[in-house]
Amino acid sequence: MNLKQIALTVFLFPAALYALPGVSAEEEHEHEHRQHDAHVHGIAALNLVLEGKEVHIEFESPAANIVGFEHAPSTEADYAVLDKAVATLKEGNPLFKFNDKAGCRMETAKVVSSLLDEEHDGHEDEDEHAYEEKNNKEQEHQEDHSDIEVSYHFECTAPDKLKQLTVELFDVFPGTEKLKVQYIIENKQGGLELTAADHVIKF
Amino acid sequence: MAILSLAWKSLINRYFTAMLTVTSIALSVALLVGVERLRIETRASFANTLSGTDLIVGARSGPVQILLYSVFRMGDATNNISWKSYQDIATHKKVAWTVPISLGDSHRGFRVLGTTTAYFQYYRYARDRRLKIAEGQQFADLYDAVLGYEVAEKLGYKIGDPIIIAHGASDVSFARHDDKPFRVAGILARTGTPVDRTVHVSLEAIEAIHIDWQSGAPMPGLSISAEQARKMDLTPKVITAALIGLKSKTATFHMQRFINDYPKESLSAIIPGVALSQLWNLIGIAENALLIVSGFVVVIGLFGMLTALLISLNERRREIAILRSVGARPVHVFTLIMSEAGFLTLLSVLLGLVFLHLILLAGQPIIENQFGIFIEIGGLSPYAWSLLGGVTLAGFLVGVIPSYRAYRLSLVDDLSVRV
Repeated sequence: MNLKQIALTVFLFPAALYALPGVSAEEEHEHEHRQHDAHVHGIAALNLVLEGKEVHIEFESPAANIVGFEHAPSTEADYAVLDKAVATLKEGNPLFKFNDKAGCRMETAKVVSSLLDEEHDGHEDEDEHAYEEKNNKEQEHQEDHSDIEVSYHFECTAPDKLKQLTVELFDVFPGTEKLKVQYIIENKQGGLELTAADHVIKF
Repeated sequence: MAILSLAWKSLINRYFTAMLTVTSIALSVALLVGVERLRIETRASFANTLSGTDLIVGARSGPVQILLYSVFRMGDATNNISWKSYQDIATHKKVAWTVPISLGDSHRGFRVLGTTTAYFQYYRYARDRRLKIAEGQQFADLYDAVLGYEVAEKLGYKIGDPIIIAHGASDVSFARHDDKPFRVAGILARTGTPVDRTVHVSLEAIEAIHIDWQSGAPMPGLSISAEQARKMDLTPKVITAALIGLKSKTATFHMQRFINDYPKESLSAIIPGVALSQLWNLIGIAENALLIVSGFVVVIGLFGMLTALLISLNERRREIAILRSVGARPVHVFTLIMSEAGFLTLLSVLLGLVFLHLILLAGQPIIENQFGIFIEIGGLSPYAWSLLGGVTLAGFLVGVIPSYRAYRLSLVDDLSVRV
């Protein structure tokens, strides 16, 4: 299963749940949930999983850590900063340095962010956007805080020799103070927090 | 060599003070290495309790808390999760297997865990070991219970014995499910994990014993007998947590996000190994504090040795002067006292290890009973060795002080010195 398929399923699944017969609109309304994800500037999350020869890395960060703002880009300068950040993030090899013996190289990288959506949507959808805002306070709230998510796919020639990963995000994006890491290397699970001073994961 | 044997004989001559000094340092060494040993064994014991589980789902709370109540039977859940949400997760196409867990009742101090036979099939510990049924079988009847090894051993249960489950954690008479007695159907082989201290029953049985209960007490006027309950719908409404195995580990984080963002109920999905790492980070602070305190105890022990050696020097000024008169040079005097300090330190470290192993031998069953942590008595970790090396080095360094003093004195004193 490739990343796109996974992403698609994850996106579609909640929608599929809503579509289940027997869940009426009223019932849905009564069970309205007011959940808010934690969003702390300076703290980002990194998930890493190795299965077979493939390493999947998910990096999720408040946009403020990466580009310094979380509003929709409006000026030329905003767009320039955003484009530069996306270009940097897409280069996975200098950001994630595995120990040489493992022979890991980046295959693909995908950047997702609400800031980027805005860029594509332009002004055409303004009506629709206003409608959404009126109907969904949650959505409005999310507009205040934007995240940037990047999924990487690495391929390793000697995954059994994978012992260490040096994360170079801190120098590149100084807004990042703490990185919460969860990793799964075959049957070993672990978690730790990285900082600029201590940015090496030892599996 | 002559000086070494002289130092040894000198120590033997003052064996009482020497013994006291050695004992005090030895105890401090035993404490230092014991703390380190306990740290390693606790970690190993925790890490060996669960393996092969990709995610644990519980009501929204911290990862460490979910891990503690669902796997280690420590603390309690903040909330339950509904059967419907559990079904949504269990039927998710990325999910290979799930083991529901329902906690809350107890039997004579042991926790009762409601589950399905999937528990015996999928629960893994110590890397990849399965639960083995030593005697009897899994649940066949509604009122069947499968006991952990320790439960059966401590309470002396055999297959076929009746047991009564108490409501909640206390075992007071009015809160017992005594109208619906269970029968011991199976006894599990020893695992060295909290499974040993658990009474397992089926989820339906948990539902059945609570069917005529409301708000934590039997409903007055309503009594449904054990036989009547069999005919009723015993689908559970809530469970406490669930262990999840995925078809592919790659899906772990996606599934974790799916559960954390599950819109109808506030759930948390945790990765057991990650939660355990977080637990160690928390406990690490306390462990370090303990290690520092025991380090200071060693320092105090070494100061005791310093005091003893310095005091003895005053008594031995004439002895040193005599040694000088028969041809010992000041450097020999220095070596003599150094050797004494060295002997004392080495003896202390050795005796400390002996003490530690005696304490562990005596404490092993108690620690296992109280905390469920099995302390293996065996070799030392590299870190423990380096601690011992550090103590020895410190002992020698401390020895320099009285040795230098003796050296100075031996230069100025003569046979006429008054002591």
